[in-house]
Amino acid sequence: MTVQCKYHVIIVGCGLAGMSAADTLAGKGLDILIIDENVHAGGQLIRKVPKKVPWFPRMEPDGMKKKGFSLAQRVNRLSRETNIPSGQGMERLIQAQVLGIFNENRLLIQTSSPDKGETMVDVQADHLILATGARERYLPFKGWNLPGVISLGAAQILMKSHGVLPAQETLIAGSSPLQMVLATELLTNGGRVSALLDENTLKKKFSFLPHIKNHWPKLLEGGFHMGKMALAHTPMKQGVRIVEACGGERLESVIVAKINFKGHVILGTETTWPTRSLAMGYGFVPNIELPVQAGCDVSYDKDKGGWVIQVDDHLETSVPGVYAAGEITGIAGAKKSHVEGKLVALSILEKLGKRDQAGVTDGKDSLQGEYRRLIAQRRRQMDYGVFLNDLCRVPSSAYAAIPDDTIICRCEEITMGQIKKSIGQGFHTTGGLKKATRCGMGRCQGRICGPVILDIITALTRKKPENIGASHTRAPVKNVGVGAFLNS
Amino acid sequence: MDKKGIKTDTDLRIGSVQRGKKITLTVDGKPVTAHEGETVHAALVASGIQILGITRKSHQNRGILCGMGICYQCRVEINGIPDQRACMTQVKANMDILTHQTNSHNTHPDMKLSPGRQGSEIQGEM
Repeated sequence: MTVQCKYHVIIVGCGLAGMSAADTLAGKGLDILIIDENVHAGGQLIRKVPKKVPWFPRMEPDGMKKKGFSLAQRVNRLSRETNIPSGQGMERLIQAQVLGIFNENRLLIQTSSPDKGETMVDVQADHLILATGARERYLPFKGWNLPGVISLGAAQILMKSHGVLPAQETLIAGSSPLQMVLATELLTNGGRVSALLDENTLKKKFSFLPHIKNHWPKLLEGGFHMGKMALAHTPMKQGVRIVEACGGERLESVIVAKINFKGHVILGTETTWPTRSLAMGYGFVPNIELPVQAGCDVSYDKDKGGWVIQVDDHLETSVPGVYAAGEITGIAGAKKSHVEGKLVALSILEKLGKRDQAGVTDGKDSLQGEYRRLIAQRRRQMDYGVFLNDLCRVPSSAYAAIPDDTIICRCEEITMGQIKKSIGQGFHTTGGLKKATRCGMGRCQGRICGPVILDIITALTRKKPENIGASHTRAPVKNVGVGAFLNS
Repeated sequence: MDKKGIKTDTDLRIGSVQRGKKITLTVDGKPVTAHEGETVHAALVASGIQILGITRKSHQNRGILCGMGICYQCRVEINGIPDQRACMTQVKANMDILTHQTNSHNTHPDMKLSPGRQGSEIQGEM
């Protein structure tokens, strides 16, 4: 294939980071392409709400969603929505997947046009911003593969994007702060929450207080959610873990038990909650597959949510001309993504010699001032990220204690027993285990089980994750039908 | 199915939401109402369908997990094309959706495996 069109800047991912970069770069006479898998701009946080605004104030003291929605509107106004890129102006390629990044920032993209169907395009960028975001992290339990067990995010997407409740009544579990957000959303939309079952004890939560005293908007938000649940008489259990999800054809009930301070399940404390819908989540994992395929260096930092993309102060990765912004440089929430989007755009404007157009009025000094301000903000949000990742973290013992008959790799149906056996045989890397058991070889390409397997290896071998290594990714990084190749 | 006083999942669409035009889909041969702008997954959930597929090796039921195009657990057959992610596909009028597709290469009319091999390679693979 030959390069079909060239852009000054290509942004992969139209979430908060991608949008704020696009917004800062707009109106400077640059040809920009924004690529996203979804139809709407906004990523996972900013999902269109086709809803009449409720009378009560939005429970959001830091105002990130409000900012995000106006940003999405601006990006929609400034860019031209398209299925086939033309190389002119600012375009937003929707329902497209980047399959790989090759030499000289060439991108192979799968898209679908109304007349041709699935097809491929080959585009090139002078500067490439990767803002691929994050996904949820899971702690597998017996029966987590039953229909009716969904992620916290899936439940939110159903409500936020489509105005559909996951079920009349939903049980919420996990260790992520998203639990509270979801509970409030369910209650606000007329759904019922059977209970909120939190892995974290109150003691653990309070021990974090000193770390986030500077992040009062987030604390206030947590308070709002707790208040809403208390008013609805939602049972809230702290320090409990799901032992098993039961059901034949689909989920019927969930068995939970208390955990002790070491993170072990206390036998004899099991209780059963009947439910047809369980939403669970255990924090977040950066989507590093595409940058890894592009050759960007990664580093492991538990405070950043695991394997993240290494960047310098200008957010440039180890591959020249490729930048990373948002959750892939460290999980820390919406505000950091917003700040990094701006920061990466300023870095690129400076490289392009458009410093005077960077929206900062006079010359170099004030641009440097703006940089310093953004870098300081970024650092502050990173601190919040340390808290967030700590709060979500499930103790290693929980991964070691997964029963042998629990499915770990859902695509290839590989159980904990098979993985344990291979680890016992000396397969101590995700790559090795993949070859030994096929875990991570299915449709999701290890996106769901990969982080789990890293935690299992860590728990069983006592090796450090940085010594186990990140898994390799090759193009195509997402599933693509042969038809797409034939059509191009 | 509904023991212990759990209500059936009918009418899961939230009342206060403004929706697109009403359209009709066919799901496993039965008509299902959806609204423009929804994904196939949302339309299926709203009509009480949670079980989307059957796994290849041990033939277990599967439903959606991530909801954002990552886990590929929600694959259904749409208008004869297998392995479409329900969560990432927008509904269109008269879409013909089949849930319960088993092995993708078994269901595609052009790529049928010999009957002897279907589901039999499960145990020996390790």
